[in-house]
Amino acid sequence: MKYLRVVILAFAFLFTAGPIMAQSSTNAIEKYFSKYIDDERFTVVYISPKLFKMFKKLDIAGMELEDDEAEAIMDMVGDLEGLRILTADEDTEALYQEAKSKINTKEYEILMTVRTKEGNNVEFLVKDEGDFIKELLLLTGGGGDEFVLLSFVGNIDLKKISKLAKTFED
Amino acid sequence: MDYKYIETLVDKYFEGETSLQEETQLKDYFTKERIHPSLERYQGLFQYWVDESQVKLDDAFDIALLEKMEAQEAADSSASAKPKKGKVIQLRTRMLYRVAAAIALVMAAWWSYQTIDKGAIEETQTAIDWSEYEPQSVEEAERLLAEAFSKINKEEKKQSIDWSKYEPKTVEEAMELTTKAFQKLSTEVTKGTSKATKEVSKVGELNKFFE
Repeated sequence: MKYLRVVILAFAFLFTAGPIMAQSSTNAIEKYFSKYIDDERFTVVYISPKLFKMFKKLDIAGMELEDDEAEAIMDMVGDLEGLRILTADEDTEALYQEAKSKINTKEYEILMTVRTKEGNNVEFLVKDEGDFIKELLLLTGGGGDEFVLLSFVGNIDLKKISKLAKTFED
Repeated sequence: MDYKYIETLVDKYFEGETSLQEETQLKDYFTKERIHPSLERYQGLFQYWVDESQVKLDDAFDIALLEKMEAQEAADSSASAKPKKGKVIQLRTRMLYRVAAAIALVMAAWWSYQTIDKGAIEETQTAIDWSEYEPQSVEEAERLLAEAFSKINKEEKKQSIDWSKYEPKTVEEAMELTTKAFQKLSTEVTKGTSKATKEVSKVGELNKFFE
């Protein structure tokens, strides 16, 4: 019976450890690009939901933003749980190819791919859970442009993104 | 006897409705009288019944049988001093379980022998003796287990990135960066979609050409 105690204990640990492991990587950058984060070539930015909330307190008038633009951003930010930015200026084409090969296409669906004559690549990837998009990835690189990896985590509404795109276009 | 009457009797006989009397009449007719040609085919059958009823065992058979019985009896009585008893094995349910287990064991052994390849056998030969590392008490086991799991959790924490390091120091900066990110996003979206529409319109032009 004493051994039973050990077995039960082992199971208890396993069950508590399980969710921790599952939670650990909910975004693509953490999952596939953690080695880039310590890489000196990269600029890393993380904006937490807490910071997003603080945006509302900001004096928007003081910034170089039009009202509708600010409004669209606020609208988007409300749904976000985090924004991660990874940028680099060197070897952008190589980095783009490497990044692309790392992403599991079973988990991330390609929304849009653009490749220009100048060799600039753009890829939009989404991870959805049911009807919601949980993560939007924007991957660009090559053609003298900088390498950019944007990861938007949260409840992402593609309609809002197109609305945002229109506001910035004007 | 009128053969017509016999004919009806024969029909009745095959129907199975004749009385014993009528059957004796039939037998008498087929053994004693001149048989009408239309009834000749039945003669053999009734003749057979009559002949068979006449068969009797003679005395010689009785004597032979009795002699055999006596001889058997004498042999039995002489052997009765040391009776030959059959060995009775009771296959009780428990015994059956044992047999089933033995069969299962043999089958399992055969099966594992079939599946284990040579490499696996070599592996088992050089297998680590884990019993060396077995904790001596349950308390020790619990302690070691807890240690192992806390280590795993620490590793987990170490692996997950400390994102707070990369957070902008001021809200203004954060806002600026977010705006930039959205701008990048929207320019790429518009670039992509405008390219797509351009290509689509080109395709449309091509279609015109083919019309």
